[in-house]
Amino acid sequence: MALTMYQASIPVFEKQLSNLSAILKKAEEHALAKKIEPEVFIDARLAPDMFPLSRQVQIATDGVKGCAARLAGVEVPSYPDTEKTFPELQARILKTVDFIKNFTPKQIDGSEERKVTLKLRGQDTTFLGQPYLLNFVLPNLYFHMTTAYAILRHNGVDIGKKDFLGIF
Amino acid sequence: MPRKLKKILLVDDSPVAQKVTAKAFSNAGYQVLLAWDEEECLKMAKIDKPDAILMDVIFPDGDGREFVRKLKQDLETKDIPIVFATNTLNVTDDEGDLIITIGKESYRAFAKPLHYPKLLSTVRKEINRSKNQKKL
Repeated sequence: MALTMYQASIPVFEKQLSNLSAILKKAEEHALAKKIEPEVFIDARLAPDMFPLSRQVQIATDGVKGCAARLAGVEVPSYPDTEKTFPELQARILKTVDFIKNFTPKQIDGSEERKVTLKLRGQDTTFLGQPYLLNFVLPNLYFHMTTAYAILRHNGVDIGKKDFLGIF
Repeated sequence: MPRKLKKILLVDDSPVAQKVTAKAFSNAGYQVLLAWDEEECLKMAKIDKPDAILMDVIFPDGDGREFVRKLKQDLETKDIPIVFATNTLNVTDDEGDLIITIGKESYRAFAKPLHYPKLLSTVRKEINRSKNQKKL
């Protein structure tokens, strides 16, 4: 049986965001145990010209909610990028999961050829639904999750690949 | 509006140590200023007004503890928080839980190699504490 657009998107997003949430929880616990100001992790980046942890989470959630909405042909909700604490980042993830889990297979399936236009670096870029999901949204999600993971690992948080992969 | 970067002045005569520590602070969103000795540090502290100073205890041209007394007596530099990083004075705790007392003041001290998350956390706390004291 062929994989559907729904199967390749919504459940994958939910699982990855759940893993990201678990990683952030470990980071918050580590900060508390080691008496490290949580903002040290929230503002940490791998290089000065990269985004900090907070922005990695914001972009990861933006990509996911945007994809679900665009594939279903509904309006993309806008979340202000104001999170500065672990609880606020967790709330953003939860809000995103609550948004995407309401989509049904009927809304997403059949969107392989749906035209999706978004602004990338100030320019309109048009994708078809399937390459948008497989070549843009999923790699972006994994990129920002991996970067968030690497920021925290680099800062001494006790996490490993099994935290990234979660339960499978 | 872009956030104003906090300024940290790193005082160390080891170029390698400076480079590594500067990278950690840059990655944490600080503007990093570098000084090699007392004279340069004093000049930069007065001109650039850093939010905090991270310094070694032993300088090529003197004892960092004596220099701290000088900074604390100077009206232009007395309120700048100072944290020590050292591989001398039997400081072995790289998590910054040790204290160096100079006169009536106490300063947090880290052993090298530095535990950067704890160091960044301490510097952040010291900057916030200094700001709050100024508000009182």
